[in-house]
Amino acid sequence: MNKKLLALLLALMMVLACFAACGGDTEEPVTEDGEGGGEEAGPAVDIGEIAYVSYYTTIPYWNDGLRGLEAAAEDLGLSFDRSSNFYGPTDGSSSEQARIIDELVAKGVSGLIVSPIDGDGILSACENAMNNGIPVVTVISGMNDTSTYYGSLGASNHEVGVTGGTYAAELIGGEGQVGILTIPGVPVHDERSGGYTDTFAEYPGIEVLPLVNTDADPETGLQRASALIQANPDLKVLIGTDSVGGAAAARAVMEADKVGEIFIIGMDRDEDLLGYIKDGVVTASVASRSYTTKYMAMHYIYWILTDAMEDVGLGIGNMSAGIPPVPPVTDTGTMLITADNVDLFLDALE
Amino acid sequence: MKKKSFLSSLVQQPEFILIVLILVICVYLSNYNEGFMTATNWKSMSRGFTIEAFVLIGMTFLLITGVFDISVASVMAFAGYVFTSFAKDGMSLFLAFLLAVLVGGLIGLINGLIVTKLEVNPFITTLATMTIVRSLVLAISQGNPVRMVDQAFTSISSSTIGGVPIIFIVFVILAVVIDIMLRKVRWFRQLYFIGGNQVSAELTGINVDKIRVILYITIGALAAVAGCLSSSRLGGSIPTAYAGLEMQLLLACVIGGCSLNGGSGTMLGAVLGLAFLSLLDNGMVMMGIDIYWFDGILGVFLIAVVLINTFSASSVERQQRKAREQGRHLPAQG
Repeated sequence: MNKKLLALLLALMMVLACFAACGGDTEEPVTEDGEGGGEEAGPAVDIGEIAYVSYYTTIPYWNDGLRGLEAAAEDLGLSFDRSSNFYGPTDGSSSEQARIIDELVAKGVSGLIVSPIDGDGILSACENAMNNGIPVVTVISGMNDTSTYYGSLGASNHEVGVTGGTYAAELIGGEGQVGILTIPGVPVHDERSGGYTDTFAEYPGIEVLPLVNTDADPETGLQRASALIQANPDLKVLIGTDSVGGAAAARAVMEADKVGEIFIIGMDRDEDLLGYIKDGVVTASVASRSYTTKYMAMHYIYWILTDAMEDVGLGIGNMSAGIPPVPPVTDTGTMLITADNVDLFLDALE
Repeated sequence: MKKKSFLSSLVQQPEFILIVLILVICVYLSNYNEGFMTATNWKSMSRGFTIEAFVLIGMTFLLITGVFDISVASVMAFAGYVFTSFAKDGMSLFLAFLLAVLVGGLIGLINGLIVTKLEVNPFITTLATMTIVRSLVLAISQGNPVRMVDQAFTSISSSTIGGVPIIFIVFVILAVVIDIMLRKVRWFRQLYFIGGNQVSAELTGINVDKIRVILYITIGALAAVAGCLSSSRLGGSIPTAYAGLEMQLLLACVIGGCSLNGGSGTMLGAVLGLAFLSLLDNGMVMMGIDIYWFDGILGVFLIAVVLINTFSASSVERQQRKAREQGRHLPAQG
């Protein structure tokens, strides 16, 4: 009896604690006349919930993008909060991502911004959303059926590899061994690795070593990067196809006492990686314009839902004319972060 | 005759098989790539190994008593965050470390109480704790790493004596002491009794619940120590780190002779199991094995080692049964 009571009390306490912790600030919904919205909000329209579904919600990479979504929502007088409207699987599986999208459709969200894990896994979920009148816009990567979304924004991941690869090849004068730390089987990373290897293939003097898997874990990445350095004493460049790989390369190079001997090119811009650029351990990072991309994506959804674009004629919204008001593909490009401009990005984190 | 029996039993020990395998891998890799035997490679391997090995101690204890804890990776991340954040805010390293270990121990206590007092399955309990603790650290940190490259902070994991990392030396001493205690000291011997037959252990007056709670607190605290050491090595806390480490540790224990049903295993075996996995991982990078074959090769080795262990155990059982049968046929003395 006592045991049952204890279990009941414990369960009750945990549920209450969860509600208390997750409740956060309750904001008044934005109404047609703007009451209840932020004081500096733009034209206030209640268009319902806009949800963002990413993959791997647990990585800091999303923070810039979430800031972009929140800023756009504020400018447009919408409500978007990362604690309430940010979704995604924790295991990086597309089936889980599809399930989340299905649940959001059932919940009745107004619009979906999605970062597809792969080109096929969530096609039917997005098609279902579109059939239910919920517009879908993808960020970072698109999908293999363009009828399942209105527009796709992001940098071409292959181009990310080409940009970083060209920079690295010039650093070493087109000669030497190159190692790549990546996460195989994840299309985004495979495309980036492909961009690098395609670029290095144009330099006969460059030898690309077999890819190394970081498993997206800093400790594993460090161990394997260290082994790669020891196995290849003439290694000239280490590439990370994300911030974990870049930072793992930095730590391995420091432990091997080879700072300055091995160039490191990372990806993205979290505090960990930027710190190593500032310290002169990492040479550069190829960063996507994650803030801009998501800022624009929120606008795309807004334009679709409010039929705000009038390409067809005065007073005739594009959607009412059956023409999606957003471009199908928007390349938001990349930025190269080096010691020369890293302070700007570090300041932005504070 | 006696000597043959000793050799025979030595060969059938899981530890012996692992030692041979480790030696074979070392000899092969040192011939394959000169980089393998460099001091830098061994220093790097021993640091990574030691951090995981601290948690391995706790996992071995638990497995011997027939339970386990899969929340350790989340506890490491949380404790690492506590340690780094407080140290960065000016708290002394010692106090920040102590606080992190207390937090780890507290999570272990919660696990232990739920498993023993509420009799919830250890897998479900620690799976829930794993997700709750990971959520907690991600929510507090918002997923952002906390950078701390202060010399005193990083030297905790990087300091060496005669080129050997101090944390590795500390671990080896600890592991040897624990291995001896598991073989000789009564309190530790009863862990095997609990894992072998919990009901009998309780009937003989052993407070099984109390011992399991102590072991859960121990593994929580050890995971926190590992989290702090790792944060020192990584130059800060990374809240998303260590995912999947619990499986690596369970694998190491099983390879080293622990049974998931409890009642068997040694500290030496578990440590050798982890060393084997670390060497294999290092070797695959050294050899430039195709990235997509890593897990497959690991799986093949795992099955091979477990099969060898199983056949060895069966062989021992067969011999014991034969000896018993022969004993029964002996004419009565006197």
